[in-house]
Amino acid sequence: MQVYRGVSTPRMRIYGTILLAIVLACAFGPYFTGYGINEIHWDYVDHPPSFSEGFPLGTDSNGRDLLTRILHGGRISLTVALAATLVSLMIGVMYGAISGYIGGITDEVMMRVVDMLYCLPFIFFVILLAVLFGRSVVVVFIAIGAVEWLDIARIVRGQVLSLKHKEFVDSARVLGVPAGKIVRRHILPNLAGIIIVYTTLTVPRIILLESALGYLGLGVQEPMASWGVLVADGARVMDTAPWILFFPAAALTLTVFCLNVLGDGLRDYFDPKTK
Amino acid sequence: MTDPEPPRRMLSIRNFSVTYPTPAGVVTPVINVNLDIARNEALAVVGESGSGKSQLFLGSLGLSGRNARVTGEVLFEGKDLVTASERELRQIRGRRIAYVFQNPLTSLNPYLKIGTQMAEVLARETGAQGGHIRERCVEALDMVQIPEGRRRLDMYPHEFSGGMRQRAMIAMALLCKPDLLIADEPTTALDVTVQAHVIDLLGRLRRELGMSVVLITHNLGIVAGFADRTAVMYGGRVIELGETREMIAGPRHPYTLGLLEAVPELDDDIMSPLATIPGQPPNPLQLPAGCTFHPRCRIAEARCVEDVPELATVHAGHGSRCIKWPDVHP
Amino acid sequence: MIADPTDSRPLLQVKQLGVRFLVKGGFLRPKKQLKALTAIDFDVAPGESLGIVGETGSGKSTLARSLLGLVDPSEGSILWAGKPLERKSRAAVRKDLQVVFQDSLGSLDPRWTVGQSIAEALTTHSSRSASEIDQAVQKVMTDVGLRLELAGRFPHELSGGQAQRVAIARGLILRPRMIVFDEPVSALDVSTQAQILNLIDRIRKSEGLSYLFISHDLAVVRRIVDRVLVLYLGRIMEIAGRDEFFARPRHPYSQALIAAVPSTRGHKHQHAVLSQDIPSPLAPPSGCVFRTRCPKAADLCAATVPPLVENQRRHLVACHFPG
Repeated sequence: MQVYRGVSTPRMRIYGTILLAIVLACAFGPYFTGYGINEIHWDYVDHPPSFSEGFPLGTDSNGRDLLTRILHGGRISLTVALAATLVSLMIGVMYGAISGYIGGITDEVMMRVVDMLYCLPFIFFVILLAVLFGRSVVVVFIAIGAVEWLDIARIVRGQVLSLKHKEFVDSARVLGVPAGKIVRRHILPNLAGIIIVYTTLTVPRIILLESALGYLGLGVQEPMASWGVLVADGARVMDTAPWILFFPAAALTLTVFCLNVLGDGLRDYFDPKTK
Repeated sequence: MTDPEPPRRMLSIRNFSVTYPTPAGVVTPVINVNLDIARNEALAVVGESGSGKSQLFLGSLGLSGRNARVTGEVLFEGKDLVTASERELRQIRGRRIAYVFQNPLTSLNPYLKIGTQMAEVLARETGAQGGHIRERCVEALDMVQIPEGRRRLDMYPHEFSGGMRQRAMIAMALLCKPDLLIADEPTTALDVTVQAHVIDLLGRLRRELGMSVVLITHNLGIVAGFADRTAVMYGGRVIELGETREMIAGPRHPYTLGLLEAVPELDDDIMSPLATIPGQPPNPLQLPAGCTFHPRCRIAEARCVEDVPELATVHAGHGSRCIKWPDVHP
Repeated sequence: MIADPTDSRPLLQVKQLGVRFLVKGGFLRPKKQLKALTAIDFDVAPGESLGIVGETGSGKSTLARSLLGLVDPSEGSILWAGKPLERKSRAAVRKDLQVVFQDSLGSLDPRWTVGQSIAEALTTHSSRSASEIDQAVQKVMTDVGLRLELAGRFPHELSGGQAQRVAIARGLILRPRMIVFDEPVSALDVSTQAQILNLIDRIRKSEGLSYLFISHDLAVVRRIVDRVLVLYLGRIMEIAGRDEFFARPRHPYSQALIAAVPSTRGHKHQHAVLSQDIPSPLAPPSGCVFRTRCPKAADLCAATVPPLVENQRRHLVACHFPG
């Protein structure tokens, strides 16, 4: 019988390494490409990838180095996605766990609040924020965070409702364990699987949401770029300069795929039945 | 021991084994089982969880799951079910051989009316149509003593009590007038009061419809008044097989004896502690060598560890897989 | 802790306890009231064991849950050592009143090891050192017959009997005065059931423990209780000492329960087995709740609820025509 079992499987190690490489490249890459994000080369508009010319991934319709822009875009996309996911998780898990565990009237009121927020038109909300605070990444981030926690709050509440009637929770109550401790020690750890799956689904969704906002001119502004904006730009010229679509899309897809593999692996790791 | 050739054999299981690969190793829940079920016979298969009693019949009907390896023969009216195609099996399952599962709540779809679920079975298995279907459903409910069948057909499973749900499951199994009914722990989830009723019902249905019935259970108490013959399983093997009354009066395997003594009864002497079988049921990944029961056996000796005992004939129709069977006494 | 035989004051007193639930009536229909328990009256002496029997829907589990504070009573009171047991005063008796549920696997957190689960009471309540806790866990594991190496296992790695032993161990670790066993053996195989019953009996003798033993199997109850309480649709039908109850059951329902116990010896039953199912607790019969299944039912039974009367010393029956 195997006694010690590490967190990682070979599959997780491979994709984890790829993800780490992407993150590091986005973080430090822009210092080494030799171009600025808005450095325009009028002689090289829509230039295909070419190492000899110095543009390994080609240039975009404004003659800017695509590699540099993808790396810069990755910084924004990943930061927004991670931060917004973390914030929505923190709010959503707490909110859902409290609502579900206390139940009764409290639960009713808390869930009606969620329903009301669901009704808020997302785009209207973002325009409102943009008018009040100006267009910036922070606004995008607040807008997404404010909307995304609603889903996880509902999911967590549903899980907590079923968990709190499990006999191990009753046993803990009979032992006199206080409610806060029960939630912390028995309920939240049993939500780990669903939270991880949710995270791996949310990160890519937020990247796409952000790009939709960018497309409408409400998100990140030129000359800054996110992956979503780059994909949108590339889609416009995909028949004449397909690489402008291909490389940002590849970066996005690879990242999302790595996240999914890691998410699956972590979920298995946190499930005691697979140990 | 060879079976004394029951005259009209219904189902004949020969050298039957089921093997599963698992991440931790190969598991063999059923090992080399030989069993015959005669027409209109009531057979009880008794064993604890993990003894292979359910796997034996699920495997016989081709319901073992994709990764299972099934060997041996299961002859149903001369047809070998082990080599039969999925299509042929579907012709037999449900129509000729019906299977009633342990948990009546999870075997019924909570969102469909009882009548709808029963009609579905009828339409699928017999192609019956129209108003005739309702009639036959009411008839089946009547047979399992669910009164006011017409009204009950429009109810949902949650409106039935546990015992009524189990009877409705039996009614569904009866719709196609099967020749063999396999009831897998039909009373385990039920109250004692209702258990007796369901067992009585199975016995009556068998007589009235001329079916064969296999009762799979862990409770030796309920087989006494019901089964003609009883097979006791342990660690995937049939370890004792014989006429129920005779076996209960004089078990010839230490495990059967242990099981019998462990059942609390109303006329026990309660001053002495309840007899127990020490230890735990065997781990299917590491079955003990020789007789699977020897680590828990009171009369085991050195030679019990060497070979798997054959089914020794106590006398015609009663066999025991214990080399020391003459020494087994209450 | 050995019960003091001179202390005749009851450990637990239940007075006119009633529990009602509101049940959703379906779409756009009013909520219905479900009387889970009505006028429950009994007491348990220190060191005494009381069996609570009845079918599914009789209110056995609701009774256990209301004693444990998992369900709030709608009326009546529960006294512990003479003092009312309410939400506030419950903390004081936590240590003394513990529970073992039927689904022992479900009563263990799947993410906690056996050792962690058993120690939970200690890590919650007391400021004991790690080594003291470790010693206590080792002792209680030995008491219930668990090998110490199981402490590091997870619940899904246990057999049914082992899981039930773990559940008993965690109930015992605080050295309580009373344990509520809610159908502790009905999910177990026969040979394991016998082991657990003997364990419960042994613990009771060595610890001087009181317990409530909830079960639907009278043959099991007979082995390990001093008195029997029969519930039907939330009402008490009969209370009697064990020997008296099994020798001379007075209520037709008790007689039917005894008749339903299966026997390998195939002896004939004196009384008929119940044929119908228990009525819905949402619409209990008028008068005596048992009358719809009772062979002796008469007009009187439909009109008035039979009171629970003591017709012999310590033998109480709620029946107009006790047998």
